[in-house]
Amino acid sequence: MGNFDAFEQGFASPNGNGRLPNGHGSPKERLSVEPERKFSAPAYTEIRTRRCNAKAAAESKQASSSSYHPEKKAHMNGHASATREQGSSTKPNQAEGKLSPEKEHYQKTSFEEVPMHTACLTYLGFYLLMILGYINQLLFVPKVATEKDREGYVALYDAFESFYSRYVYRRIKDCWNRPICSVPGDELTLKDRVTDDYGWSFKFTGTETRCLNLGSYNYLGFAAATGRCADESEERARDSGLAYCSSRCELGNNAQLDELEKLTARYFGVEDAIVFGMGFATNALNLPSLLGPNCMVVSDEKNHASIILGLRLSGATIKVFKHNNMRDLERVLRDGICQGNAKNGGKPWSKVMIIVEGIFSMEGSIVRLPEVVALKKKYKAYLYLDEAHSVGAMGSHGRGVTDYYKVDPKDVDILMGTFTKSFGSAGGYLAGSKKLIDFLRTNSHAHCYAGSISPPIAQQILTSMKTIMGEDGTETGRNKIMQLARNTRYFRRRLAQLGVITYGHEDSPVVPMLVYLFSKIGAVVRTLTTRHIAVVGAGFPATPIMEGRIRFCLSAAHTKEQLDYALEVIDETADDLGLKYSRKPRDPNPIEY
Amino acid sequence: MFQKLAEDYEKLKRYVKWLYVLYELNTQIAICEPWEKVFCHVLLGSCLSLLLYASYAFVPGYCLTLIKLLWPASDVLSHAHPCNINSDVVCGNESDAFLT
Repeated sequence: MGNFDAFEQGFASPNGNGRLPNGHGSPKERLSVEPERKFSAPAYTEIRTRRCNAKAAAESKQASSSSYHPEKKAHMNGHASATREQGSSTKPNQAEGKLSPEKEHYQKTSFEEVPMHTACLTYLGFYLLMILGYINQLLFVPKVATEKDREGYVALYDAFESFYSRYVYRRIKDCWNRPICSVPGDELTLKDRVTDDYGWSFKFTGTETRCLNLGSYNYLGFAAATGRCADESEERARDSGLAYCSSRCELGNNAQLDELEKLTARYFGVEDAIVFGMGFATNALNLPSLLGPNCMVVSDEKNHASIILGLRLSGATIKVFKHNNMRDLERVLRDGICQGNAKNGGKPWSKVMIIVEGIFSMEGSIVRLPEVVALKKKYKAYLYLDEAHSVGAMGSHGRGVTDYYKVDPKDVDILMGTFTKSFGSAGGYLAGSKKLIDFLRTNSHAHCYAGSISPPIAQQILTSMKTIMGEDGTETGRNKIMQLARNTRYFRRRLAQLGVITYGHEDSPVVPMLVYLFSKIGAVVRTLTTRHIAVVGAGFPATPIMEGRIRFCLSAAHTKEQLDYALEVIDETADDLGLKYSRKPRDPNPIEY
Repeated sequence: MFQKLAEDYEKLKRYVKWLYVLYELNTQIAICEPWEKVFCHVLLGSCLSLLLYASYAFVPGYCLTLIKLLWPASDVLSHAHPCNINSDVVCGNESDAFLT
């Protein structure tokens, strides 16, 4: 394989930072760029006013027991080798089952109400931004935003969407789609960029910032450039190449993918499984092959865009129930079944399906699976469970919410999930009965027409899955699951103690911190970047207008020192930017790790 | 002594700065371009000053009208009032002059 020579060189050069060898700029070039330039950009205008003086900084340094800082530490390249010894107090990520599922849900899940004045300010601010945006669009359109030779054409893009992204979202555009140049493990390297025209265009400064990574869905810490997963994937790339360039139905099938499907089925304890090369397409293209126009779908209001797209493509009647509200689910189900298909003269539906997610990625809440399963059995509906975020992250064996609630996986008709998050790879799967999977193998568009999974990517899934199952003969997988459960509980409790509003279930590793205002999303992301923490903000349209939020994603690769550092910085930032909205009583005792 | 004062001054300065940052964040001015910042400040400032001026200029008059409306028979208030001569003007009765 001659064309692998360049590739091989890239792998051979020992670059500790995980920086690509062809990454631009020799050291000399990088030195010539003055370092101040990076901090002159709006993205780096630090908003610290109260504790910014040297004295406070010294105090805070003394207060922190550890001296962790992303810049200081020798880079481990994201590999979670430092998984600690388990203390006796560690308990796995699992429903306790002492109370009824409903009571336990209410005890552990929190959706605190927004303070009235913040709600008003958020709406008013949004109107102000829209008005300013329209004025801008009327009067000042920069050169980068005008198209040439388009006279007489109708607008190709949706008018409101392009207006929103140009004149509202652009103001804090530097907080999204930030380029990185390392493996997104527990730490990552951000490529610094500056904008001279308020977000219309960006320029690279040539500098880099090492950040603690609280933004990747790397729940079990398998995203690493070194270690067993990486080695075996590399090995596989060398002997099987990078792609089969054909779909599974034609030449793309191979023994490795068959093994992967068998392993996936075994992992979830079901009869069979089918894998796809793309997680989004798993939902968007398989739902139409399962559902038709005479079907009714009861879908949670916070379901992911891929599910919504799939349902719309299928042409089924979609009924939405309130987020995680079992009473509303039952009402919608009962009404739908009683009334039948109105478009077909009230005749009964051919299929009724409930679609829920395991962990809702924006809310950080966990589906109330035992109750959903009970309702599904009562009304004889099918259950489609999207475990994109929960697989690997939930349950004492990392098998997702079925494992968490100790529900028989065969009670869930269709288990869907992705390999993108916990397994540190790419793709998606559907698991269920043999009959279902055979049906999908013949009917699914994602199976027939899409290219098969690339061998190194499939190898990453295989190795990480075997590690989680403990089939590699080590305790690594189990330790990682424990570490994640421990990190999650610690981080969530500490955040609650700080007084910020977080949403969701206390065992979910997705932790949304509510900041509400549009400007505060930007301010928090920028401030945390200057303090070497990388986080992800989410605002309208991904969330309701009201509920701008910062989403922390925890990982098994994080250590206590890293979390403590992050919490300390978040505490200061929350003080400075006024994020401590919570009116709940705070726990005065120190939180045990 | 002087040092303590200087420290307090610094503290106050930081506190005011912090309040200003919160004001900018809460009104979304923080993420605006410079001309928009000026525009928003002027807009908010003029709204506020209009409100203040209006409450200074009209609220006392309206209050007196309200009192007269509620207790039309009682002249106690108008007699006790030191500037009852001007009360007609304050109450906005000057428009009668234009009508006649």
